[in-house]
Amino acid sequence: MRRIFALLVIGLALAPQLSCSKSVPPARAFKINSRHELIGGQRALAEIGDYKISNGIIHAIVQDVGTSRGFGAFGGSLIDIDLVRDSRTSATAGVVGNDFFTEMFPAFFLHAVEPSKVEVLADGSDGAAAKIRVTGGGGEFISVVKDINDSLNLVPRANLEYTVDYTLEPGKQYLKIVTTVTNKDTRDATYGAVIPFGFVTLLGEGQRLFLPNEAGFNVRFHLEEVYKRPSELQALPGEVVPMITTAGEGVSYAVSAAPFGPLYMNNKPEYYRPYGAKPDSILIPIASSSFLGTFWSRPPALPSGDPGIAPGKSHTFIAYVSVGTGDVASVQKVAYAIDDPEARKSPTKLGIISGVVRETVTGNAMRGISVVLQDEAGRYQSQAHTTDTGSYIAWVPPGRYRAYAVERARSVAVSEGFVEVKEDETQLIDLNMDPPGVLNVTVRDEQGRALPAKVSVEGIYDHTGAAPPRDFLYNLNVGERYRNSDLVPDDTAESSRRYLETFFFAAQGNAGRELKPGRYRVYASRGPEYSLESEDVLIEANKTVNVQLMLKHELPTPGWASADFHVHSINSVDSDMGLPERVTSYAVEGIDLVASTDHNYVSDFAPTIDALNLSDWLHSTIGLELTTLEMGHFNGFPLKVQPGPVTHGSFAWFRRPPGELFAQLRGLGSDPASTIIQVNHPRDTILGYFGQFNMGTYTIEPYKAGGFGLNQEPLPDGRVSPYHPSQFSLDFDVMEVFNAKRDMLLFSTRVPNPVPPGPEPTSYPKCTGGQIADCVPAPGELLFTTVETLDGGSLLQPAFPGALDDWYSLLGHGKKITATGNSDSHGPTDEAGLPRTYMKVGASADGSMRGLSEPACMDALRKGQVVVTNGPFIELWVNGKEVGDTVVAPTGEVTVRVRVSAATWVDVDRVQIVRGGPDAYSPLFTEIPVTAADQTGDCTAPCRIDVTRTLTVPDKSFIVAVAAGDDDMWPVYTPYEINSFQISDAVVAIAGPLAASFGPAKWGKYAPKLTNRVRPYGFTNPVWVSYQLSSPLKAQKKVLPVGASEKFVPRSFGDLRLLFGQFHGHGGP
Amino acid sequence: MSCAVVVAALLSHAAGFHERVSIAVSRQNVDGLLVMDVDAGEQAKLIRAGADVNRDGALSAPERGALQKKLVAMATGSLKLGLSGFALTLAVTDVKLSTRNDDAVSESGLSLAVMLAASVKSPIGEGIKLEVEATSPDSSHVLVEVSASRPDAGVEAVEKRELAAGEKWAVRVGALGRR
Repeated sequence: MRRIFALLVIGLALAPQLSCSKSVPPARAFKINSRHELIGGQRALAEIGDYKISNGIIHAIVQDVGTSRGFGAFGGSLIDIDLVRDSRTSATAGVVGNDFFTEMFPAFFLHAVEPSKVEVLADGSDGAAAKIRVTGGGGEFISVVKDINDSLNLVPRANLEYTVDYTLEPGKQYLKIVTTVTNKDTRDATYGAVIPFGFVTLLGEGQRLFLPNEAGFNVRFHLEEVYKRPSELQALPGEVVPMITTAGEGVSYAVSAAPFGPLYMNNKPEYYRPYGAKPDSILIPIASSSFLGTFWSRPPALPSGDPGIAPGKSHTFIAYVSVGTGDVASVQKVAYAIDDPEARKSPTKLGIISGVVRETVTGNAMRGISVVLQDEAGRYQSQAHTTDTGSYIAWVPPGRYRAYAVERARSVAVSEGFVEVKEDETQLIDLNMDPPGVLNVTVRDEQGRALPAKVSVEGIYDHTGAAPPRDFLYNLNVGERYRNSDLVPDDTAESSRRYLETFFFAAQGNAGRELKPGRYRVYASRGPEYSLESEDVLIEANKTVNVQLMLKHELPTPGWASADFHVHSINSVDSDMGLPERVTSYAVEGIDLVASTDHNYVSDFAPTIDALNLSDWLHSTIGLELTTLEMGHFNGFPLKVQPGPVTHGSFAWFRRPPGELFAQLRGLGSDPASTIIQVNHPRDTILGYFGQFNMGTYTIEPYKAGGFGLNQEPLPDGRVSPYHPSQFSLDFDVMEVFNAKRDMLLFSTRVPNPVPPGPEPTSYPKCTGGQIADCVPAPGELLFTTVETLDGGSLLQPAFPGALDDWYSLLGHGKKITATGNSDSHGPTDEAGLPRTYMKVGASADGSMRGLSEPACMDALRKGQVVVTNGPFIELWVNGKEVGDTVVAPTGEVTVRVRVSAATWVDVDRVQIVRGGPDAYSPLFTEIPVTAADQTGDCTAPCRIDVTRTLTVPDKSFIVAVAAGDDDMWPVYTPYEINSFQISDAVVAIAGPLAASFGPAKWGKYAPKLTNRVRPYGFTNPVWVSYQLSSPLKAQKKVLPVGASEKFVPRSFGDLRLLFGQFHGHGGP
Repeated sequence: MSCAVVVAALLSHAAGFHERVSIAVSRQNVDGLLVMDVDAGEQAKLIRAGADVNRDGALSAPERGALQKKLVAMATGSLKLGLSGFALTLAVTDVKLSTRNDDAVSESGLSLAVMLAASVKSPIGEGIKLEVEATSPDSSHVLVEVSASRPDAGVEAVEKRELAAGEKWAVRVGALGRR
């Protein structure tokens, strides 16, 4: 009895603790053994064998060692992170999560960690934090920077060991990342300069980057302005922010830093304090194409005062990755509250701004509106989404604020005056937005049938002057969307002040959109085969305008199918175009065949095309863009989808030579021996294969690299570098000569005519006395430079070669490589099918696209029965033979007939007959102007000219026909207005004074123009002329079977089974 | 003459058999995955013809079964594993054959993947040597990779080597974890 009473007393004493204690789920870390343990989501990359950490609130995955599955080089990175959601699993989609995070890894300026081991350091079973550790040595993730690292001694020669600890505490909504570099050597690890340490973060499209402080959402253009500020290697230019944040659908992220250890911006604070730098601020010197450099730490000082780490000593820096529910405010709340005394990280004092957004006329609460908060100093501090009740809430540092409400079809609403917010106080800022009008458009063909079409809504702005529209027409900082404009210098003429308020797709011939009230011209179009029709409208608030337009099929192309073989969707890290919108964008541009070529991911568009009832209009083929960081991008199609692996068949490319990549791409094919391998944008900075291997335009062989180039030294295991000139391979089938709307990639750069105003470059004088290289020639002439060949000789090379000249040279050397034109579209403003590739396939190209013969398309590609164009359609006959054929002409005399046709809105001003061969790697042109008088006899609309010439050509010549126009193609095709900010641009900007001594900057005003309007341009593939009949030897192209030569490194039996599962068995019993 | 020998040697490997073996060692198990490719050409045609019992130029399902059996025997026949002198008996637990979408008696290449397993009665202790001998059917080099599961489920550094015909290779294993 006494014992029972004692137990009762003890029980009662404990009861309050037992009944009132709030149980916090423990944190756990473990190696993933089952797909049910994955996170899932659009950007999820994890596989069985990776390492997971979770605490019931958030979960994250660190990739095992090996090659990165994201955009980087190495494994061991943070690749997935999300809020913990209900653990549903879909039979088709796998684990249903919402990871929208691509990759993050530590960077020591231009150097990274090459992991050799990943392990669970603490599994969380003791109730404390769970921890995963990555250990390794240093490695270059982009080899082109090795020269910078070596010349400036930015990577110590001492033996350094790196560890990265990913820690998750119970109850926390952020992951702590502790990076430590230890000097294991007996000598000092010295750095040649004070360089920044931090992280490379790849967020991916779908997560809108918001930088609290000056930029807000306007990262792209604000960074351009920041690069103009004073800087030096030890004080790099960049955005100064308290954290980086994102806004997305259902999930948002923040990366913040601990003010722990020596800080980079403290080294030269005068460069950063004017922009609000604090001890835990982050510097962003690079934000390019989803690739973000986030730095704050720096090497410590040795006793001598030089930057370095003494023997046996370590240096540590700490980052936090917080996860929110979709807007910036929700994740800032987590990041601002971080309390980590060990890391000297204290919570930030905050006030609260809240309010409701309503519509002015109805008073209805508005859901899903983006509200941006700006302080009185002009800094954009936060962003929040309104809920179902129209309310929003944000946590901000104390200060005076105003709010902007932003929605795509309404004018931005701005609150009046500034409201003061004090610490721990709440202030209300309500906003009212004006209602939109509605535009409904119906598009039919001549037979009255619904036609998939694009609707473009053009407006005219009043402003005249040199400022670009983004300075006055809309506000990128608060997140208004970019509006394309005509890129014509503004003057009083309305035709110089056009912009697109919006455009949308009428998939089944009908579509509607809310619009800001105003006067507009509404266009309907369906690519270059159809007419362009328009109607002027007045959109008024709360009123609907209905427009009906009829498109004529002005340019039928019987027997020819149009295709785009370079296309991205949301399955690529740098695109957020969902599959329905993606395939619709092709149907409305009149493309017949689209290839799904996502970055390192095999997609299949067919089910989506079918689900949208677009199969009569559009056919698809499965492909892949094998995307290396700096060797080039290569497409393969048609492929098979492997359902098991997370990337459905893409494979590791790191440290593998191009020939091996081509062979393995072939192995992925649905018929490996017939897979088409396409080299993409071969001259596009570090993404261009020919440029990276320094292929001489006229020799088609690598020459010696000058300045920054790929690392050609042997690999750590002694193998030949994949970037060594001996590894350059021409074992591909097709070359993307015409990429998107970028003239600078297509044409070699010439001196403009007339010469632009401005000072002459100091590095290059005018050419005199017969000199043609490294000087400025006459207007219209090519810019040349001299380069050194591998055997020490000298070679003439275009200073800025275009892919067209490369291709002509390849043809002249007898390489029968088919040219294609593709959009490389990543989003709706990269118009689908601009340019496009026409293939002569026969009757299956006519009628419903369900009947399109894919083998016939691939056959036409292989044979070169192809025309590339963004508008004019060109037919070429040589002695009656068509493109792709060989004419036997024993005396070399040939009759060349060229017929050019185009829709009425496509301008054609001239035709060129191009003749090249072994005698002329730079081909010869016969130019024929096109006038209205040429539409005569058999040449009636859509024909513009049908002309015949007789030529005498040398043996083994090729003949190509070109058509071009001068009037731009607005509004169907908008200009290339925003030049992409490549990683190479960032490196040049960071190089600061060094940049003036190399690269485009040396040529001053003669450097390639980075923006251009879209003008009609098209060309055929060649007809070959031979003096005698000969059967060419057909060399078997190398194919690597799936699963057989992948440099897979198994870690466990589970991995062997995984590899076995990937093996594509066929024909077994 | 010496150039011809070198060239011949290069050519003899350029078209033929390509074999690689991945071996995962854990405390109680030795598992393996063997992948063998036969290049397109005369050799592949001869192998296919050997399985074409009824000489009709096509490989039916039973004939493909025989082909698979033959290839497994060719691939595994000369694979020998041991633990510090004690020979291991390897069992084939799963097989996949690829005829490259071509079921004819043609020159199309062939690929084979074989899962192998050997269980050991006593746990494999630290310091034990795994001995590997592997010869491909045309005596070309076989790429062998060995990995070991660590007690903390971490990662052991991988040993790998290209074994020549008849070459024996011994790898010392550290402390092992479960499979």
